[in-house]
Amino acid sequence: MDVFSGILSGFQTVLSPMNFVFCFGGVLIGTLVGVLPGIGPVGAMSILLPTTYGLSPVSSIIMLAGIFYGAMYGGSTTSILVNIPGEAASVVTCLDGYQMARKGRAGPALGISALGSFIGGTFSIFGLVFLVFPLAETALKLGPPEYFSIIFMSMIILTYMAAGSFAKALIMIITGLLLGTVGIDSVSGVARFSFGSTSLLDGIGLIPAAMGLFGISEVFTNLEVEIKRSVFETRIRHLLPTVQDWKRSIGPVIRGSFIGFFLGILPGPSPVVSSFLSYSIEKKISKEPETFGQGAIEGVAGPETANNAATGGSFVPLLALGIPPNVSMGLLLGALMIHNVIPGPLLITQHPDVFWGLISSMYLGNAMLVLLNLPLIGIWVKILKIPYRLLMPLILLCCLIGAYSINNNVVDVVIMILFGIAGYILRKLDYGLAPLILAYVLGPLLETHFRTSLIMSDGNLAIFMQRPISCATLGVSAILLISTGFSYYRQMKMKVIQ
Amino acid sequence: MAMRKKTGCSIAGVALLVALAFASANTSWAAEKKYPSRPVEIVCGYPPGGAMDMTMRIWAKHLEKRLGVSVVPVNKPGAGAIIACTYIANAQPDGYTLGSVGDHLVINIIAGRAKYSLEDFRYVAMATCIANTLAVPADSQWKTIQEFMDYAKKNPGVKYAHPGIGSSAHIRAENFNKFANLKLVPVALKGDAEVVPAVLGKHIPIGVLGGAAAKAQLQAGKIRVLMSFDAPSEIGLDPKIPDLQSVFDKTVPDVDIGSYLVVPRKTPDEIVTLLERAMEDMTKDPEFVNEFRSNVMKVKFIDGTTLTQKILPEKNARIEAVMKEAGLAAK
Repeated sequence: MDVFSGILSGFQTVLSPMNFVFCFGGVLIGTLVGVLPGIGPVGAMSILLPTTYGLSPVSSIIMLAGIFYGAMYGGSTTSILVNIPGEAASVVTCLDGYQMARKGRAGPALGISALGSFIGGTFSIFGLVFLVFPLAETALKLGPPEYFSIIFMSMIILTYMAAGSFAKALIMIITGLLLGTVGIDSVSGVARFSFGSTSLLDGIGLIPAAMGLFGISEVFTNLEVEIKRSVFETRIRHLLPTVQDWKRSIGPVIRGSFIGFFLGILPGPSPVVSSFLSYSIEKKISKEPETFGQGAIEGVAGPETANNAATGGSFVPLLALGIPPNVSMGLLLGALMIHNVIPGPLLITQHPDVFWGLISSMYLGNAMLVLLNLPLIGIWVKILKIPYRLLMPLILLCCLIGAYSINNNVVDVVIMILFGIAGYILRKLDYGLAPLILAYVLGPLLETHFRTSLIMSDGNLAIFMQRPISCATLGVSAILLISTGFSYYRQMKMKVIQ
Repeated sequence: MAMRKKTGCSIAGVALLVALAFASANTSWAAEKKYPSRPVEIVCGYPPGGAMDMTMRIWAKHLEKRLGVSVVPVNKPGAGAIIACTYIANAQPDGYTLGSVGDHLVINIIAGRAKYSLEDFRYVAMATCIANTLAVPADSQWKTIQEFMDYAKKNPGVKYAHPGIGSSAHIRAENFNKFANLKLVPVALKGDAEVVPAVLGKHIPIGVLGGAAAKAQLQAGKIRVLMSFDAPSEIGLDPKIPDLQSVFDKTVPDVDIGSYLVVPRKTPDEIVTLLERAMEDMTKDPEFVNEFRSNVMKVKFIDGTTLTQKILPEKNARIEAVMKEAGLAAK
């Protein structure tokens, strides 16, 4: 079955009334779950999994997948409005999206986020349809040494996102790396920094930490300041992005689509990493990097596009090889298996209805999401008009419940509150919080892949240079480091001359 | 000042609500009636989508029919199932909290990480087993398990990939490693999802794969299964694949990975018997057997008494020996 007849048959499947309803239901739930802080798409998917037992495999997978990419749309809403990341991939959107909202530009922020997500999602589906098998084969060539090199290069790129004092950013990065070591080490099985607590054996949860660091600290900050209406411009000027906004965003959106899609193929938390990477790259190539962190629309457009493109990319290994690259895909795998569809390289021939139905449902789902989210912008921005004395406790309550809902564990709530206090102090001392989250996510991956590579090579460091892809990636990293060093050196020279 | 007071009041109100919510969550309002009279919770220590989670969900689906109330699957992933096991150990012994666990319960105790002990649990029954296979890429130099074993003995230090430290696959592979004297070096990865690409991409020459992943890749002709730890016909694989017994003529005991239903120790006997009978009935249901076979897992029922008195002490001792040898046991 070639691509075009496959897509046509897929649309036939998905436009049947029942599948249409399930697609809509999935993306709606996904959006809601993304908006609500705490419970993420994985939680919602696992709760709804039993309800799909009586359905056909196609319908179940359409609904569950809808929850997954729908959450990427919804997550940005709370990030922009109240600086609380609805889920991990929306942390970066807090940086500039919230600042845009403070300047009365919440509407355009939400708008560009929805539209960018749509473009990113659709682009990744195109990529999926035409490139799924060759990409999957290429992805197989990447092993632990390559993963290490790619993350190493990403970390170098990601240092560009540090704003303000570099020494402070470095401290945040190191803190993030240290926090990432908490938990059972996957290579040796030794529990590190768990202080005998069972709950810490899995590490500090990313979502409670991010919610605390960004959201709770924001609540604390707002509580201590006498709120002057003029500080938070509630006069909403436009509800949609202007032509000017579009001009600035089109580049980030295109780049974000590519970044997200290709990173999505790799194992690991790809929506999170691609959103961070997009932000860094946009900041690096922007002509006005100082505007980042103050409400630059590129800082919203790029990451939001990237995290949605990454969802499409994550389907590549699942549909082509039956290998789930992240937890959400793992759940979809389980859902398929419950319906006696075992995903593997033969999925497209054994169950073409599932394969093509899923892909077509993603087109449909993305279209539904943008139609759902755009009109809602008007409603969302009204939330900003709620007086702070009511809004802040409400946010606090939502966060407390949300943190608990992740694992039904009170420890997550405690972590969130502790990080909230820490975030409040750090903000007072003018430390940027994003590098911390970033190092926290990437640090463990870097370490695990490094050590696994060394086990593979019997301790020989040369393995990173002996393998062509890894060697090339490290070469690019070296070039990036040297060029940054060079430009810094030149800047210093200019300063001295002046 | 007035605004400060109002903010303070709202926060106090919210705090009160939250405190009430937590308090009431810990109290059971339901009056005691005949068991089961309200939904039962079944807990598994792994995230959704894996073999352990599948086991729990299929059990839940079939137990519902037999218990007459809804059986709600709950995932409490984390710390290699320690969080879930601790939760079950501390739950009310009223039969409304069940655990679907594997040998990880014991493995964690041996590794010294668990806050619970074997005495906190009562094993109701074993119903199913998870299958593992040893697989290489389809064009690998080793065509049979014998070829691989000869190579490994001549070249000590061959790497094999497994889904995680202390996982059933790891323990079984180490057991095999020790008895066959293969001097293999384990490379720990995270789940089948990382083992499959490592093997397919030839980054690691051989891997221990879960049954379902192995079958999917085998059908597509991408891997060659050198050996299955369980009898292949019982799990729906090609019967020509040798299993551990046929390779070693029953001299090497396998550590087969069972999935057990456990409850807190103090659960009343009548409830345990009821559950045990439900489990036994379930394993005889052909639909149940088929579902497990298509997920490449084995159905095997062992009742609670046999388990606790004969099978488990012996198996746990073997697991402990393997772990000590592999350096995983607590000092």
